[in-house]
Amino acid sequence: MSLRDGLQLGSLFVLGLLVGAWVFISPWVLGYPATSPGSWSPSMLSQAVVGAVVTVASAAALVAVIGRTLHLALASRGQGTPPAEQR
Amino acid sequence: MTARAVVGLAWSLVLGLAGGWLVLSPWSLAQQQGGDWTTLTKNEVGTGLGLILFALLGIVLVGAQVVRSLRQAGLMEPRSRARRSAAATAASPEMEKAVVALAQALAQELEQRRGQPQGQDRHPAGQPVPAPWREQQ
Repeated sequence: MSLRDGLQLGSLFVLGLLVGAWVFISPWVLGYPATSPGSWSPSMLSQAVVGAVVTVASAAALVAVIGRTLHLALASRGQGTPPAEQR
Repeated sequence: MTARAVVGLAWSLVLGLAGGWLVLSPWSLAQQQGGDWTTLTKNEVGTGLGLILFALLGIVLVGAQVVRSLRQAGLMEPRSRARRSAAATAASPEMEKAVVALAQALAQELEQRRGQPQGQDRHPAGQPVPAPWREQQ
């Protein structure tokens, strides 16, 4: 049950990571107009910041949940069942 | 479970806020000036709505996991057992007897009140009291 819950949340965080990466790179992929060559327009800046925030948040959440799930799985293998407060 | 719920809800909050900003940003940054939507607007609104959808999915997933773990810990009744106990309460013979007794008591009291005289608005003979303004005429 614990492992399954962790995997469900982990897969959602992976999707968030992919969407965050898309938000970050989409201004260049779609060719957003720049105010002047070499500078970023406000929408490019906005998308880059939002994409970075979403990517970092998803990566941090993914690491936390996968680490916790692995820890619980290893603990339950070592002790038979996980301690009640960790479930 | 608590740590996972906090991480999931915090992630949902960040994604929801980011999605809301992306949906609004073409207008708040004055990139969309009415008329047909540009590629930029379409991309930002679509991506923002996707982020909001992910945030809602995260909240639903964490909520379902919290409820499931509360049920497993015995802090919440399983849905089937709760339904059964509610049905048993509604159909118990003691409850039915109590409701019938209450209804009979109420009916008796109503009958007693109907048998009593109505009080100050009638004479002892049962004639209605004339209004004072009629006597002045």
